[in-house]
Amino acid sequence: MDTYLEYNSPEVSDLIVRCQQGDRQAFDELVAKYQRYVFNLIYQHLGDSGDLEDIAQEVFLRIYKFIKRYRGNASLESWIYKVVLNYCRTHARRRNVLARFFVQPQVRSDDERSFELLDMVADAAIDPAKSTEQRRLVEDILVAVRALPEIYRNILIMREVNELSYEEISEILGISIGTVKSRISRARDLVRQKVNLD
Amino acid sequence: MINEYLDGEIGLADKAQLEQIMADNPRVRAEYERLRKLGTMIGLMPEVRVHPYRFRARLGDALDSNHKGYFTPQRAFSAAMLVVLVVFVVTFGLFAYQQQIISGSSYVVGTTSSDEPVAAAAHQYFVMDTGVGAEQFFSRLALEHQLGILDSRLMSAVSEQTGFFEGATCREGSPLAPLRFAEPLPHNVKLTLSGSQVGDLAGLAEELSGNPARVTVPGAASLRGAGRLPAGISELDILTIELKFI
Repeated sequence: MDTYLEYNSPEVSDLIVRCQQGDRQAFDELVAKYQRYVFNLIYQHLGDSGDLEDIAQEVFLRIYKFIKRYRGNASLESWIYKVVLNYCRTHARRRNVLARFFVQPQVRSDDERSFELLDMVADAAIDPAKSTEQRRLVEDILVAVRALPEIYRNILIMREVNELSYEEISEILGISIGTVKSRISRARDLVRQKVNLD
Repeated sequence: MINEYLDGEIGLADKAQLEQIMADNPRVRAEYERLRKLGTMIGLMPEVRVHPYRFRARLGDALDSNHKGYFTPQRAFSAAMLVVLVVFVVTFGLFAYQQQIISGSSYVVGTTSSDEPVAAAAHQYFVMDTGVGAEQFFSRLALEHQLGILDSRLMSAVSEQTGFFEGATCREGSPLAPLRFAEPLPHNVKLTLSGSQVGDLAGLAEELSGNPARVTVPGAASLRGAGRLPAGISELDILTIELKFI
């Protein structure tokens, strides 16, 4: 358990050890603790195309299967982020093929869904007089972000939405800090070229 | 440097220097404000709130069933693709096998009725030793056609391919006697016919000679056996038969 304390709290370290021993109760606790985190990551990187829950389920099944491989070289959150990103990459490639063969994700009704989307623009206490204009700007920016090439989109979301440090991003993506800096700068330039921020 | 400042990843010395630059230069300050606004706006991406128990229950079911029994579109697609692949391979295999048989490139002839092993036919080319003369054979063919015994399509095929009947005449006073052909007939005649038509010719030859027709596949053992053809011939739509006459 000491192995995991460098990057995790004692509580999380204990949870990891129990999960690695195959403790289902511990895994359920882990799911309870990180499900919102995982759902948000998936939503941020892939958007909601109706299969968010299916993807989240696949991600947690992978976590359950591979948590024995976690060695404590980074925080559990970073490790989970890496699992999510890897799966999102695979899924994004597959999604086009699925669409081509008319396999549409099963869209659940609100009553069946395990999650809901919160409108952060409304919650941000933005000036009501400007709310429509700002909402449009946010939507334009998010469209521009989603249209970025994957290497820029992922890194911008990691930085701006999840506020990861350069070091954390470097560790998750397996790239140097210099590359992280240049990609973030480039990603911001690309978005700015499409959206007027003045 | 503005990006690093914005992200809180700048050293203290650079930080002070940049703040001084921004204070002195409104354009740099404006650039910083734009980037900060961009970050704020991206941060307003909708958030997901997860039901505390619903998803966990679903995941628990999936784990309980040992990763079986739950079906996502991805898994359904993978399964469907596997089925399609298997069907394709089997269909293609059968098709290729069938093509191989039809082309006769390497099919195996079955056994005769006497369970005598039959040599594999190397090609859809057969030789029939009729045991009779060509004039006698083709005269009988024409006679049976006149009597309505012979299939008219076989007579047409033989007539068109050989041209033997052009200028052929009946002998005076003896309509059942052999025809008189315009030219002497060759001892070997190749015809392209169907398997069943070859069967008719074999029957005719046997009747005339009083012996079983001898059919051979070049390069293989002779096939004998009470006028029977190698198994499989009658199913062939087209083949080449070389008729040998004495």
